[in-house]
Amino acid sequence: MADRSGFTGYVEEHSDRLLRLAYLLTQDWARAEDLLQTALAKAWVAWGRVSDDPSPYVYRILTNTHASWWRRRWRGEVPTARLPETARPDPTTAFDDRDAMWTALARLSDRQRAVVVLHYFESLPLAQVARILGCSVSSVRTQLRRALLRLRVDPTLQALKEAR
Amino acid sequence: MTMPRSERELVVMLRERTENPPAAPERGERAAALGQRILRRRRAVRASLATGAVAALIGAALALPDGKDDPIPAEAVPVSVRLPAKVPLPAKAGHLFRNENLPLIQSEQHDRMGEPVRLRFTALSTDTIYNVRCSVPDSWLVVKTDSPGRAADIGRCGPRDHLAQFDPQSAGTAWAGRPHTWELWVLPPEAEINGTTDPEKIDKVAARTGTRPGTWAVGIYDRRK
Repeated sequence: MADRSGFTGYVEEHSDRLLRLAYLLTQDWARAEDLLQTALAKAWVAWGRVSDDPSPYVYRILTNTHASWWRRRWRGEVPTARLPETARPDPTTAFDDRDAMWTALARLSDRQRAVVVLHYFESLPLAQVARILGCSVSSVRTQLRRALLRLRVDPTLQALKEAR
Repeated sequence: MTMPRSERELVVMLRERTENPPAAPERGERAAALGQRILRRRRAVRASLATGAVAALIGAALALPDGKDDPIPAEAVPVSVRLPAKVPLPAKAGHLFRNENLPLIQSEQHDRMGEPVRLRFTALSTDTIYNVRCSVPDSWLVVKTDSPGRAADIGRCGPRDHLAQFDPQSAGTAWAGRPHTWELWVLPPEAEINGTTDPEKIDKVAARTGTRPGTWAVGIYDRRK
């Protein structure tokens, strides 16, 4: 019988954060809760093996399970192939801009979205993202570059802004 | 063309979007109960593989819910479910500048959960939207379509709108102008559905869950001819 005494404490400490991560993958709170429940249940089953450091395992289940659900899960509004664009930059519409970024996030592939969320939301280094997703660091870099391109995020911009 | 954004803006957006998540007490207990079910199923499969058909029957019996750790079934709410007469084209789908509402062209209401319903309709355009409302919050909705690009959906359903629309790739080339027959299931919230559930075997899940009262309605919105 596996010792699962630490499971409840782990859930209490981390589940809010994990729910947020699941929400960024699904963009729907109900589906995020379902996804998290599935991931935590699988972690509970494997607790004897993963209890020393469960988070990477839970991250992996979240991203893999979401990818397997995606094709047959309720998607709600289906995005088209193009971004909604304004005719010219409008500095007063920061929220619109973030809305557009949120919409663009939904259009990324499952893998690209997972890379973005793990790296920018969980602040994980790319090497750790690669271990979670079971691929090479160069593959993660490629996915991240493509994702940022689609999100219209330019990594050099922050450095330029800070240099001003 | 919009200006490029910085990584910092991306981080801010991710944080803003995840503020105020809904509370879910007993998440650990529910996950443990689901984990126990997974273990029971695995043991049942192992037993059936090890000892043949007789053991398989016993395993199947063991895999049935024993009621000990199952959530309490939701109270059925016998109220009418009204669908809106019109729904807007989804703004997030790139129709930002097409401020257009599609009228309800067909709807059905049903008063029981756990039974399959065949929905027959003719798509009038490539913008067809379907909408489902369920009186019991967090019911499960399964839509088995006849579209080759997107065979089935599984999702939660509640009193608010649950709108969905095919994109052209998913709908296929022969979408508009053609009659369609879909199979819909609405199951109670406690139905044993998770990430491994095969929509094609939803009838077996429904048989285990049983039927119960619960009003739900489905509507098709499209351009009138």
